[in-house]
Order: sequence, then C-alpha cells, then structure tokens
Amino acid sequence: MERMTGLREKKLYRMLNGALLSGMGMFGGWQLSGMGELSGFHLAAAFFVLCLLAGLDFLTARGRVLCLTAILACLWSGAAFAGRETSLSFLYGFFPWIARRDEVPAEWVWGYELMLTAAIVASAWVLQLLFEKVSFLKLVFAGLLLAGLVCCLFLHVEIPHMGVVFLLCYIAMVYVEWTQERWEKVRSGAARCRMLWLMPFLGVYLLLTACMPAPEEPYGWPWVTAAYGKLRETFLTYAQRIHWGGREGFGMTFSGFTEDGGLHGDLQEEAREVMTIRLEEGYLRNVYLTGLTYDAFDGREWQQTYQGSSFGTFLDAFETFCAVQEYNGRFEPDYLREARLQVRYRYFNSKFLFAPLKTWTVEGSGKSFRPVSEDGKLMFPKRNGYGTEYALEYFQLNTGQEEFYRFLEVRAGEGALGEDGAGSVSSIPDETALEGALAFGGENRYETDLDEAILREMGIRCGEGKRTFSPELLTEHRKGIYERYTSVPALSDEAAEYLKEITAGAETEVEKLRAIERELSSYAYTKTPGDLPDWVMGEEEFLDYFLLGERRGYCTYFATAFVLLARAEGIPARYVQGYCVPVERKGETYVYSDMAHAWPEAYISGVGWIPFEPTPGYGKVRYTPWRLRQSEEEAVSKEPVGVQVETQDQVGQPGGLEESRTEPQEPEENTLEEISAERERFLRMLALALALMLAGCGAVLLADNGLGRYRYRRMGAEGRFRLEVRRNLRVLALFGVEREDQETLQELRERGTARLEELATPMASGVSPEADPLGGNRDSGKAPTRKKTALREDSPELREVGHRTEEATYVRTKLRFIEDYEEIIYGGRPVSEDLVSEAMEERRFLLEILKIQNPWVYIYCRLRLYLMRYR
Amino acid sequence: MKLRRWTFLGLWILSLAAITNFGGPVSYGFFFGLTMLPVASLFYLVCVYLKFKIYQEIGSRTMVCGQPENYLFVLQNEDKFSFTSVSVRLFSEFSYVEEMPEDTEYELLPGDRYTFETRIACRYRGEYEIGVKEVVVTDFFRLLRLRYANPSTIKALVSPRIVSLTELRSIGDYRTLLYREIYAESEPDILVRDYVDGDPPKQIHWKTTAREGKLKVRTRTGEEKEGISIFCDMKRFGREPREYLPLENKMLEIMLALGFFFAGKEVAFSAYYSQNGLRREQVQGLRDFDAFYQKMDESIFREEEDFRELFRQVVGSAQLMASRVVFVVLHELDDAVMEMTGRLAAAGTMVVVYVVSDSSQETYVRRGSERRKIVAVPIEARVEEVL
Repeated sequence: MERMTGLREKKLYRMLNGALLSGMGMFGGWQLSGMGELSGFHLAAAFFVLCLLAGLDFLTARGRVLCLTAILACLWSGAAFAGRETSLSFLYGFFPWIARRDEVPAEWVWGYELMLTAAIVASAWVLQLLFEKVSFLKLVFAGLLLAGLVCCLFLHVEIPHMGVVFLLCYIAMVYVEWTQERWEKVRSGAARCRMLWLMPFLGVYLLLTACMPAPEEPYGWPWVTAAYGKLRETFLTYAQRIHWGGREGFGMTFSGFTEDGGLHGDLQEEAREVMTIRLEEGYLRNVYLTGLTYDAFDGREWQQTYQGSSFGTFLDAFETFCAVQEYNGRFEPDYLREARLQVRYRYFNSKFLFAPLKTWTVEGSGKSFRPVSEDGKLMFPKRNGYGTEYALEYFQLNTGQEEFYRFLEVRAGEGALGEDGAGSVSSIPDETALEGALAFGGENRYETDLDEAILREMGIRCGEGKRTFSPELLTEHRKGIYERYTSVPALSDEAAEYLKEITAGAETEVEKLRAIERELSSYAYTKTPGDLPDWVMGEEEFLDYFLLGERRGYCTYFATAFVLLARAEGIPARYVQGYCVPVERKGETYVYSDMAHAWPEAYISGVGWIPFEPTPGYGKVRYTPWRLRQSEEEAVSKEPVGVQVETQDQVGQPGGLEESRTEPQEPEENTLEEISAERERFLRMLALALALMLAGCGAVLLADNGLGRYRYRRMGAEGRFRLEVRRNLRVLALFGVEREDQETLQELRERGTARLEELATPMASGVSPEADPLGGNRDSGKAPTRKKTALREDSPELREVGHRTEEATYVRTKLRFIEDYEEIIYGGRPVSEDLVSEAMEERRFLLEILKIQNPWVYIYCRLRLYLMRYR
Repeated sequence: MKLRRWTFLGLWILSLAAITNFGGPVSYGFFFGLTMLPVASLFYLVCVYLKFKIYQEIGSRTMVCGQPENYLFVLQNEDKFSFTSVSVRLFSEFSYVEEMPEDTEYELLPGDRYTFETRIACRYRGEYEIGVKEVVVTDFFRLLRLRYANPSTIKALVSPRIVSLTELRSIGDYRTLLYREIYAESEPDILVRDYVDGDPPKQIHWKTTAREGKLKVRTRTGEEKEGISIFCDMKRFGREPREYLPLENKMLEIMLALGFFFAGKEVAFSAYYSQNGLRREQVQGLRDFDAFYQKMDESIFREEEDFRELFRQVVGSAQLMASRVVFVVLHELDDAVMEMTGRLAAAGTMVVVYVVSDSSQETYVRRGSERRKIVAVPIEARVEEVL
C-alpha cells in the first residue's frame, strides 16, 4: 500500500478504525442522544472531520501545525465576520452551561449537531489512538459493546439498524485482529498491515449485513409451521381416511364434529387441534360456529333432505339486523353487535365453512375461495385442510338479556298480527296457518317494509349488483323455512301431556321455547347415555325414550328433543352441529375437536333464526350478555316504533356505542409494578449470568494453569528456557522494546540495552544505592558499584563516562538471555537448568525496574504473568 | 477451528432464538451478522481460489527411482488483498520432498513471496504426478477451510532403479554360476538329462541309462546355451496405482538387479517376460545391459498377461533343461508354478522363485528344497538385503 499510495498502512488502518467507530457513534448514538434522524448533511460533516483528522495524521509535524493554524484562522475570521453578538449566541448555543441555559436556540440547532458530529468523530479518533497504545483495551471495548448489545436486546432498547450493523462489524474486525495475532503461521507483515488488506472483505460483510431487513416483529417461521402443519395434516388425513373411509371428521363415538347426524350412544374423548379463531372486532364472547344444519329426524339419525342452494345464511343475518333496526334502531347495540372473526384451519379437513349464526359476509384468500351457501350452512366446493383461512363478519346477539327476548316477543307478536290479526300463530299449524305465514312474508305492509330495508341494507353492505336479491327471493326463503322445518312430530299421549305441562303458562312462541329450554336444561348431562333401544324407530319413540324415560344424554339428545318439541308447538326449528368455543382473551383461540357441539335454533318470524341452549351446563357458555345502554325504564316502556331505520349518525351519537363498549374479559395492560418486577428479575438473571461467567472464567483459568504446570514439569530444559525467554520478552515489550519485523535478536538486545540504560540512569542518580534496584542487583551480580568507581576516579566527566559504561555493561548482562536464546535457536547450543534460572533472575531484574518506572504497568504485568504463567 | 465452528453454531442457534422471541434491529442484527460471517468467509475463499497461483519447477521430468532432482516452488501473492493462511500438501505416496516442513501455514500479504528450493525424489517406476498436490486455504475468521487440487501439477516419468548386488544371498554357492570353465567341465560327453514324461523314446540315450541306472534322454543343444534364465510375471495386480506401482517397481528392480549382477560378471543370461506374447532378451555381458534396461523400462504390466501360460510354454519346450539356474520373479505363487518349478528342479536345474508380496508365503517356502528355493520379498524391502 505504501508503494501504491505513499501512505503508511498503520495510518490507513487507523483511519478505517476511526471510520468504523465514528459510524457506530453516529448511527448508534445519534438517536440515543435524542437528535432524531441522521441526514446526509451529518454524514458528510462526519466524513469531512474524519478526513481532516486523517490528514492531520498523515501530514508532517509542520504540516499539522499549519493545518491547525488554518482552521483556527478560519474560525477566528468567521467569528469576526459574524460579530460579537452572533458569536456569543453561537457559543451559548453550543455550550449552554456557559450562559446557564438549558435550551439550544433554534437557529443554532444545525450548528449544534455539527459540533456533536465533530465531537463523535474526534472521540472515535482518540479512542483508536488509545487502542493502538493499549491493544488489550480494544478487546475489552469490543466485549463491552457486545454485552451492551445483548442488554439492549433484553431490555428492548431501540438502536438504529445501521448502528447495530456498524457495531457488529467493529466487533467482527476486533475478532479478526485478535485471531490473526494468535494464529501460528509463517508471516511477514505487521498486524495492522495484515488487517488493512482484509478490510475489503470486512466491508463486504458490513454491506451484506446492512442490506438485511430488521423488522420489528419477531420471526414467526411461517414456512416451518406451514410445512409441519401440512405434513401433520396429510398424515392425519390419511389416518382419518383409513379409519373412517373418507367421511367427515370422526364418528359420533368420538367427541368431534361429524357429518353424521346420528345418535350413537356413548362418547369417547378425543381432543385434537382443528382450527384457530381470532375475534378481531366485537365483544369478547364465546363463539358458536355453525357447521351443518339438519331438517329431518328419523328417530335415530338426523338427515339433511334439502339440497338446493340459497342465500339463507346471509338473508337471515340481514333479516335480524333490520328487525332490530326497526324495533329500536337507536339502541341497536343492545341487541346485536357487529363482529369480525378470523378462522384458520389447522389439523382438520372439511368441506364445511364454519361460521357463527348471523354471518353476512365471508372473505378468503385465493381465487379458489368460493364458498356456497346451502340453506343454513356454508360450504366449500371441495374439502379444505390445513392453512385454509377466511375472515367473516357477523352480528353477535345479546341473547342473555331479557330485553332481547322482549324484542323477540314483540316481533313475533307483530308477525302474528300480520298473519291472522288475532295475536299469535296457532299452536298446531295447519295448511291455513302455513299459507298465512307465507302470506305474511309477502303481502303484509310491515313485512314489505322489512323486505325493503333488508334489500337496501344488503345493497349497502354487499355492494349493488354483487349479489342479486329480490323480494321474491326473500319470500322463497321464508317459504322454504316453513316447508322444511315445521314437520310436526307425532307425540304419544304421555309426551303431549308432558309438553303441555312444560309450556303451561307460556303464551307466546318465545315463552314456549324458553320453557322447553328450561325444562330440558334440568335433565342430567352424561357422555355415556348408552345406546338407543332398538324400539326407538321414530320421533315419537325417541321423545318417549328421552322425555319420559332416560332424561339424560349429551348435546345431541337435548338439541334433538328441543327441535322436536318446538316443532310440536308449531315453531320452525332446526338441529345444528358445529363448535362451541369459549373465548377468554383477545388474540388467537384454539379450537379442539372436543369442543364440537349440537344445539337447536328456532325461527322467529320477523326476526330470523335464534339459537337456544337446552344442554345442561352450557347455558352459561351460550348466554353471556353485555350491558344494556338503554335504561331499564326505557326498555320497559319501549314500544315498537314501526319503520324507523335510524341513520348512521344517530348510531354514533355521544353516549352511544363507544361508551357502552365494555371489555370485561380483555386482558389488562401490565402494570408498572409488573414491569419493574420483570426488570428486577432480568437484572437478577443478568447478575447470576455474570457470576456464572466469572466462575467459568476462573475455572478455565485454574484448569489452564494446572495443565500448564503439568506441561511445564514435563518439559525439558530447552522448552522451559524458551518459555521463560518469551515471558522476559513480554516484560521487555512493556518498556517499549518489542521485536520489530526483520529485526534480529542481536539488534533487539542492543535496543533493549539502550532503552534500559535510558531508564536506569535517572533512577540511579536520584536514589540511594540501597534503594536502587540496579545497585542492589549489581552487588549480587558482582558488578562494580558506582561508589567504588567514584573512589577511583577524580574527574566528574570521567566518572560520568565510567558510570555509563558500567551501566551499559551491567544492563547488557541482564539481557544476556536474548543472546543465549539466539545461540540455542541458531547455534544448537545445549540448554542447562542454570540458563533457565538465569532467565528467571533476569526477569526479576526487569520487573524491579518496571516497578519503579510505572507501578500500574508493573501491577498489570505481575497480574498477567501470574494468570498466564505457563503461556 | 473445530471449537470456533461449534461456538459459531451455538451463537447462531442463539440468534435464531433471539429473532423468534424479539423483533427489532438488535435481534435481527445478531442473526444476520452471524449468518453473514460464513458468507463473507466463503466469498474470501472464492477470491483466494481464483487468484492464488503456485509456480513449481523440476530439474528433469524424466527421473530414476530414488535419485533426487532439484525442485523449486514459489508461493506468491500477486493480488491486492491478503491471503491469511495458505498451506500446501505434496504428493507423498510415490515421491518425497527433502527438507519440507509439513502443515505449515503461510500468510501472504500483497507482493509477498515464499520460495522453496529443495530436492524431490520418486519411489516407484512409472508415470505419475509429483510436487504440490493440493492447496489448503483458511479464511480470516478461521471458520472455513477450502482444500482444492493443484490445477497445474508436474508429471514425472520415472525409470526403475538398478540395484548393484555384491552377492546373491538367496543362492548359497552362487560363485559356481560365475565360472565358465566350471560350467564347461560339468558338461557330460553327451548331453543327457533325466527322462521326463512325454519325451520321445528315440531320444533316450541307452548307454547312459544303463550306466546310471535311470532313464536318460539326449538334450538338444543349440547356440543359446546360457545357463541362467530369469522369468518375470508381467501381470498387473490391482487397479489403483498405489496397489500396483510399488509391486511392479519391486519386480522390475529384482529383475534388473539380477541382470546387472550377471552382466557385471560378464555371465550371459536370458530374460523371459510377456508383452502380448513371449519375449526373450539375451544378454551376453555388460555391453548388452543398456539395451536390456531400455526394454525393461519400456515394458508394460497388463492385466491380460498370463505368466503361467508363458512359463508352461517355456518349460514344456524343455529349453530350460540346459539352464543351471532359473530365477522366477512373480507376485502370486500357486501350485501350478510349484509343479513346473518342481519339474525343472527334478531335471537338475536350480530354481529360485522370488515372490514379491506382503502376504505370508510360509507354506510354499516350506515346500522349497535345495534345488528349488522360494524367497519371499516384501514389497517395501531393500533388494540388496533380500537377494
């Protein structure tokens, strides 16, 4: 490099080191000092200052003085040109403590930043100079940087990406430097020279690391989990196919969702992860996911007889929504609440799309996502498995509130009014009633208005033209419900009597349904009801068996009984299978196969399908009401307001939805106490880790020393001598006498002698011979003392010359080990134990001088010699 | 290096844990910082691989086994970046370099040059690569190591060595072989030999038969009447050079040593070997030896060569019956060869079989006799000590 550029490698390497340190300071420290974003201006300024410092370094002494003078002259000229006031303001701006102010004047912010930049670069430069003097500090500094980075990781301290990159690159550079120094190989150049030629590759490393992203979110390993999930799903699918011949889910003997609507006796527990749900909007409530609905029961098994497609699911949602709007649009959130749910299939394979009741839209990813609505359920064209993901929006119903049932009763009553004008639907629907009910869907003024509202709402929410709905379609939808879900079961006399008892006192449909629900809930829940008797061959027999005999079972039994009894009362009802998912917190909730559940739904005319929960123990899961916004009095006195669809503005009025939103199950934020406890725990762990590290270091040191001692004892005299010489050379290096490239041992000895003479002479002249280590050792080494010389010589000049000669001779004898070493290496001279002892003695001499010269370095040296005794 | 790699792996796994649990520049910085270390190392190694060159030179590419030649090679950095650690591995199976430190790593800064002037010698006859075999480069993190074959190797053509024997230890009284007059005096008035099955009855010399009491037949005599014959099996054993080169070298060495021994004493001998058929070289004395050496040097060992057939052919023609000594150099001794050598021994010809093999030949050695000696020669044994 010197040949190429005329610059010394050492200085170039210093400049690169300074640049790296400055980069670290600029990118890492800038944001920490609250200065905001770094700009190109700051970087250009830093580069300029760096070049200036490097220039000063490369120049000769005269050049440096000239350069500094020029800078000072520029500053002085600037100050003179700006004037006294501005200069003082500038000064106060940069050094507010002079004027005892805390703020930097706005006009000098740029100047302040410029000064900060210069200070960072200059500090980096000084630091590098210090590291060159004491290379050990560089290692310590890099270690501290690394430890700091780890602490930042755990304490979540934000450091800019580029700051981290520069820091890592600096640590890597120190590591490479350290590795190169310790590497045993045939080499020619000095360490810094070597490092300089590696800098391009470290630059590549920096560039590569800088180009990598650093997102704020932890990495989720999506491809790993997807691959694992896919693998597991494939395995489970095959296992399922082998066991169940390709049917949906598991058989009813297992708790799990099934396409099979049969009642198969005892349940067996089987919990596997089938999907995850995430409630993104809406109240934190348990979620009932509808999978499949049935219309016909043969006494032992439910069947879905209707196969046509319709938009029943979506129409039903809008019917309920518009009914609420009409009933009490102002307090709509008291009855229903818009919610959004994210569903993701996991180890599950199904053609059913699981969605809560009152779902009005479903969105999935991919072009192949085209679910179809088939009566009350949603389905995929083909089976979907792991990774299937969709989001849906639906209306949560406040079914736990009495006010909601009041609304149902009012709406049901209005429907009845519209039908026959007498008050309610006949308990035993006949042809006339059915026709009346159908007529109710199309001809009644009230229904006509509702239909219009439904169509309008669907147009707004689903987009005009996206789905084509018409009043005829609504009529068809309602007609289909009455046709399919009102088949009245034949009841035995006992069962009819029992039903009469249950519903005694219930006047309206809703009351009857709730009475049935209440009665069935009082039965016993068991997963082992036993197989159905052979004589149960129809609905009548099932009701006799369950209501009059067994009175125990699981969800399927209760839902079936409810549906049959509701139909017996002339109310359309259906049997639903799906999952009942308790949602306790925000975020993802896992759905397991043992959450599969069956429940009934009844159709309330003018409102839509309403779920019930006759299964004992499930009432609390189903009915989790939220607080009513309207006052109790207002609710009681509330009368139907006819067709009053309120505007969106009215819904969002003060004291409306936002205020009423209660999140009782939302996890609370961590308190300050928790955070400080966590930090304390972390600090304790850190202290423990540090203690362990120290203990580990101590153990390694001890082991290393033990091993070294063992090797030393087994070593021959030559090996021991070489080791002692190496240690002596290390001590000599602390005097600044280090072997240079191409330097012979003889030259080193000459240089060492000169240096030691230089050190020893002033010491010897300033201290007494007894206190002087040279004097003390001289006696023992039988060298002539200064005192004796003084007696022989009269002239002070001669005495001085004689003294210097003696010093040189004496010091030369103390560096005798270098000569011995040379002879042993190149001359093949045999090594005796005496030589080893002499070398040790000579080291003691060197240490004595060091002790007087610089006690701190002496302590460091003793410590190092002690810790690395056998290296 | 192993420790460094394990440490690196441990740290990398920790960085994986870090990005799994924490986001932000620090955790990802750690992860990518560690991930990019081997990438940068690899990049460096590729640069060194593409740029590093070795210059090597040998005194002569035609060499003789065991005779050192001057060898020089230079490691030089002609590029603008440092080669932190380069070491070379030499071909050591068939050749060796004198005074060459093993496993030494060299650091080459731009413009640095290490010159090694030494001597190289080959162990076996044949044509093979010598000198620098491969280069090992270690990256500056001391994390990865690249070992690649030297793209420009030297191929040497090595001729067999001639071992000068002072005596023939395998034959007790070998001096009798060296005197022509003794050889002449031992000739009977009529050349006869013992009857061997298959000899035509009209060749029986009835007078001698009657005198000696056993069947004797006339021996055909011609111009070629050397008393010493040397046979060499030219079959190749093994597919790898390391298997067959030392063996073939030793067999040729024995043959040449025997030949040189007799030629040096001006005793005529015949050498039999196969090269797609029977070859016979007649050497009358030292003046013919060079031509014989050339022939032997040029001879090729082949898998299809059938020594037994050759030997059977020669023994069957009874032309060896006049030989006083027959030397057989081979690798695998079997009963067929033993049977044929037995016949020769029975006919009064002394047979010495040199079995060049590292496997034990005790069974056959025990079956040897005064007139049929079996000598096992280990492949790496010194010829002058065994023969």
